[in-house]
Amino acid sequence: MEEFAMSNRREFIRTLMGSAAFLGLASTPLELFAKHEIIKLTILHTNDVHSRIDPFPKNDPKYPGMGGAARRATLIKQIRAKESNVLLFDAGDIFQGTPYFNLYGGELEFKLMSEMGYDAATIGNHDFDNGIEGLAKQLPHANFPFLNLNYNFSDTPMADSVLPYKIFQKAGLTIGVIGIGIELAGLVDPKLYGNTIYSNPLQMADDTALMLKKNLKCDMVICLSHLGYKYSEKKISDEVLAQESSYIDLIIGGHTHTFLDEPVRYKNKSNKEILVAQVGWAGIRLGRVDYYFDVRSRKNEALGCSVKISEKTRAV
Amino acid sequence: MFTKIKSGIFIILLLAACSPGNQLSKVETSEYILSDSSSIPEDSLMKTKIRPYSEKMEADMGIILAQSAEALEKGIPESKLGNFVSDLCFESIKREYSPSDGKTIDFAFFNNGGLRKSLPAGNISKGDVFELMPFENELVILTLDAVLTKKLINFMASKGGVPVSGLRFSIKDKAAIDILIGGAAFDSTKTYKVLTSDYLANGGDNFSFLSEASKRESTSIKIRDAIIQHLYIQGKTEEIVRVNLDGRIRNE
Repeated sequence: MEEFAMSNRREFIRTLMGSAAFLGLASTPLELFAKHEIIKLTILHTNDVHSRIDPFPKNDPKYPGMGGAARRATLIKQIRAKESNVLLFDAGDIFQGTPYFNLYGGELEFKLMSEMGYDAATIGNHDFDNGIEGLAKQLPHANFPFLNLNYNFSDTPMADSVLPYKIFQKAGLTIGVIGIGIELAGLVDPKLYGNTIYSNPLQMADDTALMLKKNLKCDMVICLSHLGYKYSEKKISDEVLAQESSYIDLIIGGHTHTFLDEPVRYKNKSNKEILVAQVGWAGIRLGRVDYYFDVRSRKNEALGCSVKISEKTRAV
Repeated sequence: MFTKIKSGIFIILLLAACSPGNQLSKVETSEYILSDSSSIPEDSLMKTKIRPYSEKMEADMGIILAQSAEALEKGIPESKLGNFVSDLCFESIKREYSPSDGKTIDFAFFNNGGLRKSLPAGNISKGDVFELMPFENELVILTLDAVLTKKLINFMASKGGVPVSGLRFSIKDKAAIDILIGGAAFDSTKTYKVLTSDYLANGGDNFSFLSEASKRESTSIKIRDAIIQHLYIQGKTEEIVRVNLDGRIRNE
């Protein structure tokens, strides 16, 4: 961690010096520094945990002893102890995969996530596995909201239980979070999803993200997605959403159980950076993205437009 | 320790901002792998919350059903796990269910996506079967005309192969050739009865064309129950689980 922190500092100073040089300002780096307050926002995420309450058994051929809710809880607590602005999200498929789900219907999964302080989750296709009624029945055990904007639940028991987006306030930052789900037909048994109506989320997600930024003054928009990372066939995915949208900053994905060792950077439709993250499945990994916001006085607005430097280093 | 595997830093510098407000200046990304070599303890409050659930579950799921000579894993074009599950479902339905019209079932097919976990070598517990087949899916019998049967088998080929029993074919250019059903060549004048899961019969995993089946019979037998019963009998008779690949589906 120490090495990591030092590296951050070095990067940051280099940033300031570089920017001053770029703009040809008279200010020294130190003077610039004095005008800025930096707020750090830490995003933690899981996806497709699939009822993996216990770690995998020690004799598991692929993931011996890995994962487990109790160990994840410790890790999250430790991060919260160090960082003041933490948000914790899950991108769906909380249910199904161990007998915990068969015996208890998801009750324990929701209770443990509530205990860990999840801020929101979206709904995956396997969260319908005990039917829409089975999902609705477990909601009292979750103290966090479920976000989805492209399933119409109005004629289902979930009608009043899902939000299209939620806004989080952290240290003066306003963070908009939306949720989107995968097409259910052909994937989930119709008897399970009942009268849930799916719509293609691409335009709806970007429109909502724009509204969150323009009307509700969000500093950034995060999308919890259960679309899947990418497909060989032409089908809406996190990759497609990243490239075809303009107002989302981070997609926290799931469904395809893709182990991305780090979030993948894309240029969105407006040629701006967007990240797509996904951490495999089963709670084997916890993803983390730290955003640093420069909270500045608005005097600086008139400086002109867009000097952008991107740089990537390995800190560990 | 938790292994912090990779960290990337990139800087988005918008010193000269186009819009007012808080500006993103830098992003760092990292991941933690939760391994059991961790020196960080499992959270004790969590353990306390889990225990009543896990104890009750263990009592039920820890029952050892049978022994296996080797781990059974899924794969394409055929796999030991796929052959094992398909064969036992086909056999158990032939044994325990009589179709209403008295006609025999010709073959069974399933999908790889429905097999959720490998079976281990050595002891196979009831819990292992729940993880292999966590779904409440039931076996159903569909009646398909020859055209639809051919479409189905070609669809299996386009997927690179699926778990089957009573059916053999080769895959060439993503289509099925040399089709044998119950040992006989595919007959374009015959109507076939096939065994599958209600999930696929309802159009799951893009088998939507199965809605064109001329008849559908529910057996009310869960796939998981069929597997558990099969293993239970093997365990009682002290028969070790052994599965062979037999080239039922092969790539040309």
